[in-house]
Amino acid sequence: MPEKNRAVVGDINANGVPLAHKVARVSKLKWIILLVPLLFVLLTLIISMLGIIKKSFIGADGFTFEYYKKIFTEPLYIKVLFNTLKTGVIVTLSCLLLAYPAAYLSVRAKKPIVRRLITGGILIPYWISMLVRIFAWQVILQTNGVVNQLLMHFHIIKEPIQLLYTTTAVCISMTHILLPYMFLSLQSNMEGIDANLSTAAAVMGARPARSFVNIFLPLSVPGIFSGSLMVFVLALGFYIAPALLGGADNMMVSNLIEQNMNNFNANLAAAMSLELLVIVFIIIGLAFKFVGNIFVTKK
Amino acid sequence: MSTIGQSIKIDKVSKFYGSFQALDHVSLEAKPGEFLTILGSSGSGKTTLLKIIAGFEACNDGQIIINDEDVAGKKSYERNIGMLFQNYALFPHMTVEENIAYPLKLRKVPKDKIKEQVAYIIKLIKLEGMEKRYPKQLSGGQQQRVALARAIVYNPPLLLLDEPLGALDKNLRQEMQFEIKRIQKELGITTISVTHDQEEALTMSDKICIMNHGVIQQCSSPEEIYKQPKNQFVAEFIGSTNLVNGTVVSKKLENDRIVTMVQTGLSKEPMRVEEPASYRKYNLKDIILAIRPELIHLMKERKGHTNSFKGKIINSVYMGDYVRAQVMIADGSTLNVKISPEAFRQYGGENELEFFFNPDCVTTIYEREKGVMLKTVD
Repeated sequence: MPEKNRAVVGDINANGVPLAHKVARVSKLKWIILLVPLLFVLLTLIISMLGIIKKSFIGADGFTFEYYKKIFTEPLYIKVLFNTLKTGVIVTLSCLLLAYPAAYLSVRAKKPIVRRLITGGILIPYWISMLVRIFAWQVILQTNGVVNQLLMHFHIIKEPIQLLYTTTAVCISMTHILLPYMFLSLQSNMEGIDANLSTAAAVMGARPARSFVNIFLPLSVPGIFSGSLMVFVLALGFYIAPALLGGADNMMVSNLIEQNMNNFNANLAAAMSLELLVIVFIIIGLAFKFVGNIFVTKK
Repeated sequence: MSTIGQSIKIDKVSKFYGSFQALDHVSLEAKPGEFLTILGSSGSGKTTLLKIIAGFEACNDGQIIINDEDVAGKKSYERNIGMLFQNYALFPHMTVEENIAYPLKLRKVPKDKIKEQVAYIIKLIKLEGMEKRYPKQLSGGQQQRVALARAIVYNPPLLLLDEPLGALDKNLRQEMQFEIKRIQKELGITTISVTHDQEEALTMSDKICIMNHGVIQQCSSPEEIYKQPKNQFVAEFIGSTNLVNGTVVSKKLENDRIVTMVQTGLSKEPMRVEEPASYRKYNLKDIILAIRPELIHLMKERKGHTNSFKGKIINSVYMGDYVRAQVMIADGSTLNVKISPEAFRQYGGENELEFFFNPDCVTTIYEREKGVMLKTVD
């Protein structure tokens, strides 16, 4: 009761903070608050984007489709795009396979310490600089590195295998870097799944595996989608990992853009940037439509 | 439909969490088709007992016998029990129909048979036309009907209810009380309900088991629980009651009834208590009398001679159909008495009133210590 008595005095609450409806009523203030970030985005992002769009269509001889023609017909460009998408898919699937059981265990753990250990184990590497982690992978994966030495020690291989500068190396390090995104997305979704549902299924006669497939898995689909979407989109634009761990054979779009920039071929680089952007937009659009549907009718 | 319910017997079940004993040799029994309620406040061990019956937790000791078979070692998915969860636990990604059909699918019932059974049960719970809806599109009461349907569609011999009406508002609660009772009787499912709501327990149950500190305090019919509480805890837990300390003056058998004369602070004369001989009692001198407020009458309203005492109304609250009055008696202690509004208007202001209660409307309780069961003296 005393709480209630001192709560509303004029337009501020007990802590001296203006009440929400009072802020909303000052419509001009609301617009000013919105305007500042909007202007910032407009000036820095949209204007430079317009510059890139212009560059991709207008060459030295005026308006042209030449650059787009080149990136959609020349084998190198097609190969790099295909390689980028392939790497994205592999990284997304690996992240999903690694993060799903971890997230499941962390959510269903009876003791809070287990949950904290799993979450910490996955998130703490996230605080270490990406560059440092990529260099670490360089050391681990090199010809005389830990991985090769271990494999040879246990007589799985006779001589060192090439790990560094391969798609494998790129995928391993990208999976490592992007894992927390998948994990957090799955974890927050799984937290919303009522543990009673599995218990209810058990009473009805569902064995644990059956109840997982029928109940838990379908309910975790939104988490799988949003996590995969985030990881896949981030993976498409990756630059440092493929640059330091990949070879010429497994170049990704970002690396090719950088190469073209350095070779004073900014128009081509602009066209490729837009190509990647449009692909990402299409994927987000499709995925959100799908995920959105799940949210509306099923959840 | 004939009775599908089977008997359940819980025999000396104990459960420890570390050194804490949540259940202490709990034994109870329900006949086929019976509605048994385990009533207790939070921390009494009632939920633990339910979890052990359902198989979510293992007991450290004892047997759970459903239809002559000990299921204590079985997993919950092997026990074939129906359970209604407090928050319903409906599968949000399945329609009403799919939710109800799920346990049948698990039992590999043929498709046309599932359809038939689901249609029958949807009619039984009066949710025709809702088959294609998702749980989120239903009201709380409707969700509960679906959850109930899903729990009984596979004709389980035993149905467990976990605080079945806790999440509903008052009007819906009363409606669902009758609804659950109707369906339970119609199908003849043996039912064990766990609740802290005594009204729910009194209206729905054939038998009530009151639990406290992991011990069953009393297992009887609702009427017996109310009229003949075995100990002080039960007397105070169910309804409101007046507890009066007394000393046994004499005790004898009269026409199949035990007549006990008890000296109390109510008056100089000893009070007369008549109880059926079938109630097992202990031979102690210091006892407590439990007298329900509605069984104490004003002498001016009705003429009675035994068990009268004098008192003064010092406080009163108008409750609509009755007046709850606090009466101060000779030794300075107070009793709660329910008086009709008419009588209160007429006599309430008088300085000294005379009250009485009938000898068969009072119970002797032989335990002074609250909530502790004495070992039975045969």
